[in-house]
Amino acid sequence: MKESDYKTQAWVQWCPGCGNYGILTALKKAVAELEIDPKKLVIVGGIGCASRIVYYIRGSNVHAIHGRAIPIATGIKLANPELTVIVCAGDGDILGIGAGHFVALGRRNADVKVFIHDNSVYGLTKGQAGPTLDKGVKLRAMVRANVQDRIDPILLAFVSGYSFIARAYAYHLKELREIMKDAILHKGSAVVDILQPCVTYNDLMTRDWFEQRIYYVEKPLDEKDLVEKSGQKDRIVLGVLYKSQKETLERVVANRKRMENFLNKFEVK
Amino acid sequence: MKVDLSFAIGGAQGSGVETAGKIATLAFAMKGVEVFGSREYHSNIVGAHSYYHIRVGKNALRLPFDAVVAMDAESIFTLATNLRRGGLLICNSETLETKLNDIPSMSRWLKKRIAEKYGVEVKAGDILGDFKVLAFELKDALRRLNISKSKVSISRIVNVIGVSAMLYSLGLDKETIKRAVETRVSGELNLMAVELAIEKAKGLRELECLEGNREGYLMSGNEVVATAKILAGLEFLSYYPITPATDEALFIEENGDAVAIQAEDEISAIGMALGASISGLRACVTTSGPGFSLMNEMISFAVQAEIPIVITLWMRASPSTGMATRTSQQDLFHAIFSGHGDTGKIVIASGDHREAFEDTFRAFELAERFQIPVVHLLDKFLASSITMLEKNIFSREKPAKTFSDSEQRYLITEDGISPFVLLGSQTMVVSSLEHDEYGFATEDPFIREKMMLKRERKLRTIAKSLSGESFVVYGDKDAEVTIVSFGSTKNAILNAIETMENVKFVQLRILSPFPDISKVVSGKVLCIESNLGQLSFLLRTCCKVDAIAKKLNGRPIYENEVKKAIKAVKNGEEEVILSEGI
Amino acid sequence: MKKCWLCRSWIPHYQHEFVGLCIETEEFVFEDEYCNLFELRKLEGEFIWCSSCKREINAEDVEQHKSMGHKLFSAVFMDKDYREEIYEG
Repeated sequence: MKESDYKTQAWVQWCPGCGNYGILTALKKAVAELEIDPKKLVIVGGIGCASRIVYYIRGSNVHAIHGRAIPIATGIKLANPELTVIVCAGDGDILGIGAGHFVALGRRNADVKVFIHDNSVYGLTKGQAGPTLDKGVKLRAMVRANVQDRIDPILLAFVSGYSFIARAYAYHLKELREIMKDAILHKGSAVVDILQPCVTYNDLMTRDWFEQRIYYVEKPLDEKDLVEKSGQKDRIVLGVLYKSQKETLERVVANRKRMENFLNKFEVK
Repeated sequence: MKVDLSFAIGGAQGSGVETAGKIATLAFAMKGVEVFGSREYHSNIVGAHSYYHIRVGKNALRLPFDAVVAMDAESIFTLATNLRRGGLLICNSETLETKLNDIPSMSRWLKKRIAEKYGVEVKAGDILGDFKVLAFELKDALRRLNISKSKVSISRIVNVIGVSAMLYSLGLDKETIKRAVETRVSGELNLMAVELAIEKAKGLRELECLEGNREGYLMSGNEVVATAKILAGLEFLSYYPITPATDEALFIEENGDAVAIQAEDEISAIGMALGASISGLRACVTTSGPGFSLMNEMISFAVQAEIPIVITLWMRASPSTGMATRTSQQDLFHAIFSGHGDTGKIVIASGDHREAFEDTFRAFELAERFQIPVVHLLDKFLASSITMLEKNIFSREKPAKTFSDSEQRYLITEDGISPFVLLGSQTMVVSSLEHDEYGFATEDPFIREKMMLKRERKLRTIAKSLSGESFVVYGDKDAEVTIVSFGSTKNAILNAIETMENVKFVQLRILSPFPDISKVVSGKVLCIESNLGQLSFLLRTCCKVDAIAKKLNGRPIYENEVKKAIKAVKNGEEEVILSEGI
Repeated sequence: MKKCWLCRSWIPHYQHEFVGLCIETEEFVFEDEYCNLFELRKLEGEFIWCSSCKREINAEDVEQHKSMGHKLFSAVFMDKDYREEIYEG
């Protein structure tokens, strides 16, 4: 398969410089290298700039509703475990309104991948603070400085039970592609927190800002390191951060048999 | 032999009422007599008052009772006050001395009403009317049964004593009573309790041995719908525990072969079901009012993206959390108008257990054929009431499934129905945004208009398709009074008008698309429902409504109340509030 | 007075208070029976069962309930299958 096999007729609407271009490119290359048939590739988006990706990559995709891509993706995977199911949505979608479902996926360990297009703002609604924006920051379109603090998606994923946790950067295409492939090949719930600049609304966390802070780890961390490195102020750790093998949900709920003659218990004799 | 009995068995929750009620319904069923039982209970685990209300010989409830088993004081105050003159009361002699104010579990408002009528110092024994009373000396009875070294459940034994005495007095034989008891509880002591009870009840027996020829399965509404779903080929169920839907979901999880999963909330439940549905599985969710509220946004998504889904909605007393364990019909508007935007869908209302079974199959057929949400409207009363169903009903064929491999999932067609292409079989987008025939998002004004009109044509196709089954008319063409209603009021109404002339009943089966019944109503139109007038509001789109009888107290509508409403309408009244119940 | 209902080892049945479980002999006994293992009841623990109010009360409210003539016990006995008598739904 080639990257061009996943092209669609839709015009890609993202602003010039948007990190989503990097994510789209890396994703197309990743699925091409894994030889995934577009008919069996299911990208499930929520609502937001990020989720528009469902129109830009050829697959059997779903553009769901805000915050609810994960349950829909879970239902798809349980119904047809042969499909490759990937959720692509923003940090507001997954970690704000969708946080409950994000946690639930970790508890279930269903074989669904969650790619968070993490730019710390609600882009499509014109730049409100996202769940990963620090307290006290005032971005260009915000009315006042952020009154709420940020959430750490890596630690949230860890305590929820995700069996594959990674963080990547939208403009390091090679590393992003490799992490995506890793996530897709992993059997179980996987999350990749993909950091990206929003050129239009996030005037703080720019390309330069990210590239001054990010660094990669060679191999997955243990729990203590994970907590420590996540808490660092001016350094952001990237790479595959945590990996484990656990039974997937599909295995547990599959192959159910109807109880023989279950109506007999109601019979009146 | 024509028998018509109404009786109740009361007690605190967790203390044997469930077993007693089941024994009673089973005993009559074993004799082939028609029996209909309903449970009333508080939203509570132990201690609050609950009772079984059972009708023998008919399939709807009526007050007053002909017999009451009240082994605790609260039941005497609540149930014996609804016992008819000459009725049978089985009780516990100790509790006759219990004072009204010494019953902590009773609502203070009920205490107030009773105190106003009988005085504040009243004891349970004081309110006894002209009844045939059998008061067991329980201490004595338990001593005679020698319970000391046993591992028996004391509450159950007490209830076995009470209910056996009543069943014997009402005309059942010892053999049947013992068999019913044995089916439900184990242990020699329980059978000895039956003997003891019958011995004491010997003087009270008036009726001859009851006998009938009915047979089949004795099931509750929850169990009937769950069974229907399994037999209809359900492949995916996701749910969130909520009264009164949980039992149905658990039954399917235990006995069926569908993928069954408990979600973290109702939004996730319907989300997973929609995901499964677009991937080709026959999917459903089951919930009640508050859960259905949460599902609204997803319903709008299902209409926009044309996804088949069956939503079983067991209505309960609302608004908000309301009374979780009491019935109502307050979600009619909610079901029909759910989902923001122009979200027409199908709403089916079942009138009794048999219809609930058949409507479940129909719901899947319609959801899949028209790629639309189908709300199956039921209520707590149906969920928790028990009746006998003939075995042959259960041999219905499961509906077939058909899929297409078209490249245009949302092809615009004459009848509005597009090919149903499975996710994972073709490249496409299933979108919550307005979209073109390939599913790609668009804001083009012309495509948008075409898509809206396509979905509208689909609704017209549905309306035409369902026109023959959207209502049923019982009774004379030129009746003076036409009762219009929906849902579980059916049998109370049919029983009430059985012996009346000039009253007909139009039962609405499909509530959306809303039918036009203007050609079948005649005389005065009386709307009967358990809400503030939702059906009568909708009815005015096609005919006049002369009177409305509404029940608001969370209890089911009784046969005698229907009679009362008809009388009021004939007298020219426009509104009747039905207030009976315990 | 030596009666089972005043004995330390007797816990009343939740619904039918005239009978209870004797934790010494593990048998059901009636309130007016007695035996020579009798020991006067002591109310122990943070939560006390008031069978007149059919609820648990805090240790500090014991005197108040006593003065109203309520019957108090350290524990209450529930039939082991009481949860089967509850209609879930």
